[in-house]
Amino acid sequence: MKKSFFEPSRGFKVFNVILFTVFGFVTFYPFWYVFVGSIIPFTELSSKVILLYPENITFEAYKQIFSSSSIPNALKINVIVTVGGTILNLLFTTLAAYVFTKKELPARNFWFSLAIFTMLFNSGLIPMYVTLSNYGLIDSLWVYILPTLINTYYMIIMKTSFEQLPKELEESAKIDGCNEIGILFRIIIPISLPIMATIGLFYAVDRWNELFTAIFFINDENKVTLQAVLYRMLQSTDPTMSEPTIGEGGAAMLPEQLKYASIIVATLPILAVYPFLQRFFVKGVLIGSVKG
Amino acid sequence: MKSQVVLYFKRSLIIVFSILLIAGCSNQGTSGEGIKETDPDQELDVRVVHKFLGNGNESLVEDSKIVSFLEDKFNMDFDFVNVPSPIGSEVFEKLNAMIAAGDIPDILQTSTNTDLARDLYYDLAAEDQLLNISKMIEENPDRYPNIASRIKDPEADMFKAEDGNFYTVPRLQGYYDHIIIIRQDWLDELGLEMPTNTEELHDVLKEFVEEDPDDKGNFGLTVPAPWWFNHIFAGFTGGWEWVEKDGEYVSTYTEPGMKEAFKYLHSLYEEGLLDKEFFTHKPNKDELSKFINGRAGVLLTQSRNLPSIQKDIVKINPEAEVGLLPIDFSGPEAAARVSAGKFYEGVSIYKHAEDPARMLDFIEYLASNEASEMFTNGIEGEYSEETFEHEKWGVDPYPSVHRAIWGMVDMKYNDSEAYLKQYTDPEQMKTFFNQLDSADFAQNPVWGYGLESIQAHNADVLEVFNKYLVNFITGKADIDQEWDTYTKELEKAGLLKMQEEVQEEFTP
Repeated sequence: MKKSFFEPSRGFKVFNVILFTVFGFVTFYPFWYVFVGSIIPFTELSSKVILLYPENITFEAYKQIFSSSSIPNALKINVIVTVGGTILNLLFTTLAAYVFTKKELPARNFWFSLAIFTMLFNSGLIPMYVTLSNYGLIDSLWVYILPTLINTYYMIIMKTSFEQLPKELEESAKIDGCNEIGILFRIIIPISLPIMATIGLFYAVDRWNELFTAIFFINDENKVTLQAVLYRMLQSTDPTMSEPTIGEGGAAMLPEQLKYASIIVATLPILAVYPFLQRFFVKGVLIGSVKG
Repeated sequence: MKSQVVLYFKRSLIIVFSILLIAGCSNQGTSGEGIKETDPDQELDVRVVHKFLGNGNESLVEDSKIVSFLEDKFNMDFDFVNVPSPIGSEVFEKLNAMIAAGDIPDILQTSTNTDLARDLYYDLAAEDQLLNISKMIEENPDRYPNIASRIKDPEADMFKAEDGNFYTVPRLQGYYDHIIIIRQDWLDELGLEMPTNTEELHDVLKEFVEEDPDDKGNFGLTVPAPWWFNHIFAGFTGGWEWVEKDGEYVSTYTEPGMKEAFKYLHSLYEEGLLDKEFFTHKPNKDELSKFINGRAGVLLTQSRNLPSIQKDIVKINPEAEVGLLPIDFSGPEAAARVSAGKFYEGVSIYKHAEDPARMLDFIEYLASNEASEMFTNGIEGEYSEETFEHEKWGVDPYPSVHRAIWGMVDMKYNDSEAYLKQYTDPEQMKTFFNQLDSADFAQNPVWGYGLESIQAHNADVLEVFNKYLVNFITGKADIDQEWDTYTKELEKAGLLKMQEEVQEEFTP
């Protein structure tokens, strides 16, 4: 049989396998390094450059992390903000996206332009702080959720996805006596699960990684996110070690494996979500990308 | 131009909100210089913003025993504003936003080290928003003896506001606790004397490398990062970045002593007596590992690293012993030691707080020997010896954080048994700490003053300096041949402008 011009040669396939194996290793190794570093003693960590597997296993770093209050507490905040925030984000983004698919919406272009405006410009720290302070949101968990309730970019993706659905579905629902809310929740959302899962994942990752808000709009240490605790821990080094600035007292040096264990604790929960949403995710990222 | 507009905007915002705030507070009863005092029986809510509340691996907890003790003693209820900010930059941004929203904390950290921090301090002082510490001391000389003695120290002058008064209590940072440690067992084994200067150090390193007592492939001296060569540069130039010459300050970067220092380090590098990874390895990890594992015989580090080094090194080699080079270890010109000033940053009190005088009483207490004793040994009956072990100082109670926040005593001034016993040789460390205050060292005279030219050009100058530092030491550039190019590049980067301003502003 004649070989097609576009059929890849064996050499090309082997090259691809090698290339992507190397690429996969380069991507995976830092995470593996951090994981192995978190479960070996400091003496082993400090004497090795490449970490492939642990010779001696110790969970001392994890014990230390969970015996202090800051990380378990921050983990709890992250779960609350991520679960609660993502549900509200999805709800309000869906509502906004659905409304913007309606051509009969009064001043639709004007409202849509306003939404686009927020993508291009932001107010800066001081006006934001003053506004949130006036709304009584400073130091409230709502500050993680309300100011970013609708991400315009995600809303546009969702809107584009809704616009691709056959209009006939809505029309037949209307004939059967369904109102707009019913159409959205009974027809549109159930058939848009891939995009809901995809946008939900985007929101969940955003909520999980909240740092800026925790630094500037939260005063109570018990309400900061895991990223803020990590930020404080990972960057906590003595300036005289590398920079020509005045040295400071007070901050204790953090053992490396404690930092590594914190990274694992912070990334593992959100990583664990991916496999469950994988099947939606691949489909979802394509939906909304082209309007046909 | 852009930065001036931003600065103008920032200052305007602070002024407008400050004025609004004063108007809002004007109906409250005050006494004396507008300082309100309340009944001592009335509990005072005190909100605190300080960068050390958010830059450690463990924050200060509000229900810690020390906090409770202080709250009871002064009838105050602390509310610590948490700003996760490892290097402190976000603290002043947040403080700026809080002030703009009319939300000034009662006790706040002040600093003169960055544009924003300095503007905040000077502007709040100029707008009469901070308690005038100088005036309080003048009016109540017997009430604040410890704060008074602190601000009388000439080294504290850099914290004066533009009107010449103190609106902050400078934090006692203490001089650098940097040490040069050496494998004492190698010295003994090879029959060598403890080196007292750079020349002797060269000879000792040579012996170490040639003999390689632990048989690990010894490369002599290692440092966490190139920054640590400042100690060596001071030994050759007599200064840290600036040195007195003919009655005025000149940059050490272009001094002949610096050329000699580069030559000295280059010779160590060439002869294999200096860690070849000194500018690429991971600070506070790799150099410690190299010393502990017997690959380096001499290390520049901080005294706080010594206990763990002493503990780990004997796991690798049970015979290993760590010695300390003398505190007056010197170069051809001067002591090979640099340090920042005694004071660093400070704590201020919001003048229109409910009872600023009581807050100043509280700070006065923290500056006292009584408080120092409390921080060192804990509260009587509350702590066991176990609680105060060094290993426990990552969790509540966390005395070093308390000290840092309130800025009263640095751990280096701690000669308590509880602190010293973490070292293999507590007496040796006690002597070292006691010598720190009187030791010769080079100080950077311009730090903390925020000179315009330094802010504008320092980064560029440092970039050139660091580039040549590596090239000269590694031999990539010939020191004699490239010296003129190096000095010209430094001048082009702004060194001359910096020097001009330093000479204008400071007299040695």
